[in-house]
Amino acid sequence: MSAHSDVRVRGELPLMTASNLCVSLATGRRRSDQHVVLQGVDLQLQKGRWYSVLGPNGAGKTTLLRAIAGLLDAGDICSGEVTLAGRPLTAWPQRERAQKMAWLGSAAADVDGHLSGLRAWDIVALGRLPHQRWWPATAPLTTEDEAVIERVMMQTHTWQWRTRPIQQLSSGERQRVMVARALAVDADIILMDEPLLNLDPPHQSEWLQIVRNLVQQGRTVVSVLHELNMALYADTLLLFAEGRLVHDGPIADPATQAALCRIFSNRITLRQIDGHWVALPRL
Amino acid sequence: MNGTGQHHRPLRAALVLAGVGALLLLLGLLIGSGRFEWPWGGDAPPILADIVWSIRAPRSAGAWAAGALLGLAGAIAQGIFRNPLADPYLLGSSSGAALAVALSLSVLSAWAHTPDAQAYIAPFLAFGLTGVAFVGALLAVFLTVGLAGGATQGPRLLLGGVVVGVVLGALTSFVAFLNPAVLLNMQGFMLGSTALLSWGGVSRMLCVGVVCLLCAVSLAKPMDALSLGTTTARSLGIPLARVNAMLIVLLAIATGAAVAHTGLIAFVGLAAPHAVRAWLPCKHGALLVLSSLMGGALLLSADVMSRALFAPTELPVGLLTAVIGGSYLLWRMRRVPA
Amino acid sequence: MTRLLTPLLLTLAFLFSVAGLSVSANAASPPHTAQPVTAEVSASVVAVLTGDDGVSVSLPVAAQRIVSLLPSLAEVLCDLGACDRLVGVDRYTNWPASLQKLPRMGGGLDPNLEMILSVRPDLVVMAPSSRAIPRLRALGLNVLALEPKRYAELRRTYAVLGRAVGRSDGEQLYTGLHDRLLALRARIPSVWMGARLYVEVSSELYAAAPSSFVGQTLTALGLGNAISDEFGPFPKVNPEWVVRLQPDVLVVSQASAQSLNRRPGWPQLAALKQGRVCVMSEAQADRLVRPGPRLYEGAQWLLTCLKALSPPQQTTRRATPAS
Repeated sequence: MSAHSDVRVRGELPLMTASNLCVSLATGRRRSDQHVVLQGVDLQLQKGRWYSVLGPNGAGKTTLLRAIAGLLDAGDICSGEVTLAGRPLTAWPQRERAQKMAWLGSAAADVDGHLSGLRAWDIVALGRLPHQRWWPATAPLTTEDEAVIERVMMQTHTWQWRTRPIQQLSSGERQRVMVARALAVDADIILMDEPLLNLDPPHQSEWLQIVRNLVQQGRTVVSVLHELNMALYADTLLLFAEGRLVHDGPIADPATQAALCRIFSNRITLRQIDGHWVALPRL
Repeated sequence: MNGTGQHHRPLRAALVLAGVGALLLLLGLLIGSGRFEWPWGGDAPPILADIVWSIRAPRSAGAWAAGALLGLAGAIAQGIFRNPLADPYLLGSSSGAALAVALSLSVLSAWAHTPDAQAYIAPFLAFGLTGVAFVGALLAVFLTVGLAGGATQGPRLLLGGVVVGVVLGALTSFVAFLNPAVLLNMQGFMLGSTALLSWGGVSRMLCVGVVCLLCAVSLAKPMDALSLGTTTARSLGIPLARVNAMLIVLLAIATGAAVAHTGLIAFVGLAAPHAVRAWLPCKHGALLVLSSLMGGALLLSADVMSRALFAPTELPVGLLTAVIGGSYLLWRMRRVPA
Repeated sequence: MTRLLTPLLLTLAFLFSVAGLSVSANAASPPHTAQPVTAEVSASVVAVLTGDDGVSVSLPVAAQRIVSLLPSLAEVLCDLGACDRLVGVDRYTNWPASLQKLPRMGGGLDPNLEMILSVRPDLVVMAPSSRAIPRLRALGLNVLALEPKRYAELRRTYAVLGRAVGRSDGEQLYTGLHDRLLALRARIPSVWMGARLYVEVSSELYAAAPSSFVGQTLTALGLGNAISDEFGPFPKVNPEWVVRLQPDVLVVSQASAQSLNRRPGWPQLAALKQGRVCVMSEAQADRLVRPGPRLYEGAQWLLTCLKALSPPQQTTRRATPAS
């Protein structure tokens, strides 16, 4: 079973929990071709914290994020359940769940550019969908919607080319638009899978700042990052290996550091520089 | 400047397309078996006004309406499959309609010459080949969705549509082979024709078109979200299964109504949304309306040309849409980077 | 709201189908009053004509302006002496030559509605398989659907069209034609009686069976048919099947006459080796194969051709089927 330290902060009830979660995905045509991706996962997510999911390739990180977001089919969950604010995720109406949780998938910027005539502003505006009525389709957005869109686009420095079609943006610019789209949902929980793809260092630090702000506002951020050193800035690390939650805790905790080195087969060393932890490859 | 300021471009485009359609409608009234002639006025033969009103007007209006239905269906198909080369016949509706027509024609020809022909043929004709074709189209789409195992299975839907199209097409050929009179009739149906459109057909197509357009536009925002990918759309609260099912129903009805009245007309459903997107990028709400207007103008211009080029003989209108649409797509191909 | 939308849409689609029924029904049912252009509506009706589709047309006076969209119907009308009353024909009508100068109304299956309407016919005759019939009726025209494919149907066509043009002896005209054909039978050399002919109506290897019009002509002449009625009047045959049948005479069109030797197995055909082939030009094919008044000329041509050929051996002779 998983070994995890107590992460309750100030005795609050967790915002989300996963209990004995098991997820298996179909790999072939037959129903028997199932590959167990996650098993026996118990975790709790609190408000106002940034969780970073780490693990080697194939450890089940993206699947975990999808499970938390409620984006898996019912048939994929072999046991256990995920709850949000005390209620099982499956009991939440889709619209309310969409208002509570924002999702940013990896390779989100691979939008079918030639298909959509959408401009950057339109894409970010799609993030307001969970809060909108769909009919009539031509109804203008509320002032609140527009204020949110402007705010998140300013935060991601995408406001200045909001009227440019998505096809004309570089991959980094597109990624930032997608991040803005996720932020526009104004959700309590933001789940991001590889949000730093194609972003250069200045924009990576920008993203870090955004996450810090979100956490300060009391929201929860869960991210899957390949950039290990960025991930080490998180409040809590969730360490996965072979589908199991091996350890969770802050990087400052020596147990966490040991577990981290272990899941990466001891090919990294951890050093502290200016009060921050940094992972270096061990040659 | 924020996004809402951009409403003007699609609106202007819509007015332009509507104006083009009206102009073509007028041309359609003036072009026919004679050369270009003005039917009103003192020296025109009285029969001409009758011809214009009872033949050319419903035919032109019907060509526009069928083209609008096909343009709308094409935009919906390209939204469902998120592929700019999707056309409305992908789910097999065309083959279903063709098979239904072939079966009806062979049954009709079997009943002719029999003593109680009148007892059977008249009620059969009451439903009309139009109604039969429409039902056939819907049933074929139903079959495709059933084969694919649901409305959300994108690649399986495509495959199912191909299978249904091929199988029903083979059955149609078989029926036509057994009955040579049906074969000749089916050739006309396959090429498409606007020659037999009546006011009844026009009103039916317009009603269906308006209803389908309103329903499709109500799904414009989910369709926009779908262009971000299915997972992201789900995370935004879109009920994927229901939205896809609704879109497929709309596609089937719009395509079925067009095919039932004009036969199989190629390229309009493919080229209309393509052309709109190339002209001005827009969201799905505007795209659906503009595709309808563009499709109407396309088919109507093909219809007018089919009558005008070698008057008084007519070219099959499907031939002209293939030439126009095909040339347009060829031209677009040159501009796509390899 | 979306929950309601699907059933709502399906209901609407159903309602529109029903609406379509009623509109189409109006189009398909015969017009309440058959209005000829010369609008003299007399109380008595000259003719109530019922077509092959069971729909009747009432004419207060004999038809004066007729549009024909089927070549055989134009030929019958001309034989009935109503050639001058034709105001428009389809593009396939080619006999008699006087019809060549009439305006063409398109084809039987794809007629040009405007042309038809512009010549103001009081009767349109066409094949019942055309999809344009309901539309033409909806435009207020009298449409009589006829397509003679056999002798009995030709007899009925003569009777109906005769009444349409004001003659009561249409059927007698046909009977006279038929009698002349039977008389021709006596002039067929006895050595050819019962000989099995293979008549090919299209280079796509469509043969004529006894139930087709030309097949009935053969039967009336006392000639046999290599093909049986098993597969309908115009079966598409496998070329090797013809080789097994070993017909006595081949009757083919000019288009396929050149390539007979190249068909698989046909060099084995005795008929081909001994030159017992009758080649039809297009005009001759029209006379022989197309149902109409020229069936006698077609039969005459066949007789002339047979007389010029060397007769088959006795062993292939079969008993003459009753005509």
